[in-house]
Amino acid sequence: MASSQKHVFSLTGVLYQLERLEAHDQRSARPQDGHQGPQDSETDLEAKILKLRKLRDELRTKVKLHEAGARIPIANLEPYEPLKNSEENLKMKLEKAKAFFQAFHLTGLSGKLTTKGVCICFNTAFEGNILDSYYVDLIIKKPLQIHRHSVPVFIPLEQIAAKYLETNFQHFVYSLSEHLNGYSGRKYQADQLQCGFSAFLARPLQRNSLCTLLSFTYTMDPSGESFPFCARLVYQDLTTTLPTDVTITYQGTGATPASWENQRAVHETLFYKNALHKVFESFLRVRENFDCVSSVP
Amino acid sequence: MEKEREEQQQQLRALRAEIAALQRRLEQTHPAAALDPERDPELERRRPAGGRESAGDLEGQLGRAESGLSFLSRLTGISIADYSMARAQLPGSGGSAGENGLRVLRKGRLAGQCHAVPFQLEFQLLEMQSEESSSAAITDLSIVLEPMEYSALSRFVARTEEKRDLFLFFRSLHFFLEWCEYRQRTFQYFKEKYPAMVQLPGGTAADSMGLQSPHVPGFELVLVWTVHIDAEGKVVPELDLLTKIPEQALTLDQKEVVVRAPHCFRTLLQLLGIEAAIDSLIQLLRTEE
Repeated sequence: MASSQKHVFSLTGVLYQLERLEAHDQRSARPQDGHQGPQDSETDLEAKILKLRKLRDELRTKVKLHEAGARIPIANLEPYEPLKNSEENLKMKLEKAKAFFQAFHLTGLSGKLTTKGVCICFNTAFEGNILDSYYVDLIIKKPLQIHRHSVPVFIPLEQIAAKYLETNFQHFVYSLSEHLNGYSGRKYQADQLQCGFSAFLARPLQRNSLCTLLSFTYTMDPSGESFPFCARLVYQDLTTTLPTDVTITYQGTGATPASWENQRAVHETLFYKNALHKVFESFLRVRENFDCVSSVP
Repeated sequence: MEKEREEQQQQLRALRAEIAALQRRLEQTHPAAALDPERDPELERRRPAGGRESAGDLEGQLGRAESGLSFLSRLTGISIADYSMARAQLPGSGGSAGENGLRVLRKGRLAGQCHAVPFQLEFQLLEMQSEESSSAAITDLSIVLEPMEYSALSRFVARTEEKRDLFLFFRSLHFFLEWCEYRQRTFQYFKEKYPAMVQLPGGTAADSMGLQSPHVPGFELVLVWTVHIDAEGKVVPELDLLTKIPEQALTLDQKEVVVRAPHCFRTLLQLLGIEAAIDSLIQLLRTEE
């Protein structure tokens, strides 16, 4: 009660003082216009200025305190006010709000307000697999500013920001998310091929940092010696996870059997339409089937 | 002397104005205290907890959480109405710790709205944790979008369910609806600007707009503007021009202007962009005599 009373009292106190001063002001202002000597009016004016200055300074500190006080929930200032929400109710609502925050992670875009602005979290995934997350910390002021971020240097963050950050913030976020997901997805496919199917590869797969150019030499028969196919996959659109250009060549010397040309063409189509590691999974299946057939006497 | 007095009077006026302004500020900050979204979390964490303080603290936390959520909704265009996630029994295994480390299966439900389209999702999330690494994957996804007024979305939904790509679902849906909203605004703009010429038989939300010649009855251009989502989830708008021209007029068209119109329109689109291309079509119809 004490704090609330003090609070109300101080507010009315200021008003009261101001009213009194104004009344005084008017009272003293009247004779001023009249026949009062200049001597008198000058001291009067000076006194008034001093008084008003004092009041102004008081008010300034009050406003400062109040604006700081605005950071404190009102329930703390008026503890005897009947609470609209019981503690149980509040806890339930808070739990729900926290769960919803969690749920935003499932949309791929989440974040939280910070003292100076907002920190946005970009989740990435390829098909069902949830991959890395990236953060962009923004300061909300004019112009909007990226304070710090964990976006890899080769992602064109600056270009995307220059294009959309000021004009369409939502588009900025979705566009960056597209780029990050594209990169994550390409990297994931390359990693899967490298880890899961290294037996098919002549040497480690080569890639650029953005994973928009992949090149590898592979065979259909990991037990064999030769690696006849050489693949070059180009992803022109940074936001996609399927190649825009696929070139398969064979490395064999001498005459190439006609069936290989067929195979080469089939592979090209496969790489265009399927995730990289899925293509090799299908190679593996073909080989297993073949083994099954050949092992039967 | 006179000058000095005037200066003092001026000072007084300035002081009074400042006092009045400060007072207004004082009145304003007070009632807004509980609603202020930009509260300093540091400051509140330092406050002592316990008793009634904690009720206030809860309210503060809730306020912050709610303003954070409303920010996220504005940012993403997605609002969440219902969410639950519960641990589920892993099929075909007694314990959750196998030789491959810890495996946890969760089943979740998420419902809400993306722009104005309500969605309902059900999914399974498998978390795997071994000594070297941890990973998570969506292993099952089912999507209900309603109402399915956009036929383009049904194939997209089927593909997304198959790929179980939850993030792509939201991204594609956002870009798709953004294009649809843009199309609607554009149609509306032209209808308001040229009400007599522009016909919207299916309403502003439909995918076609008719442009009637004010001089030659029966001469009409139809702009068909569809929005597709391709196999990779990319949203692609497609604009085409159809012509509705009386038979007799066609026989007079020796330079095959009508036949070439759709092709010319595509070039126009590339050169000018959508709005300017439509505008130039309208200008063409208006000026012809």
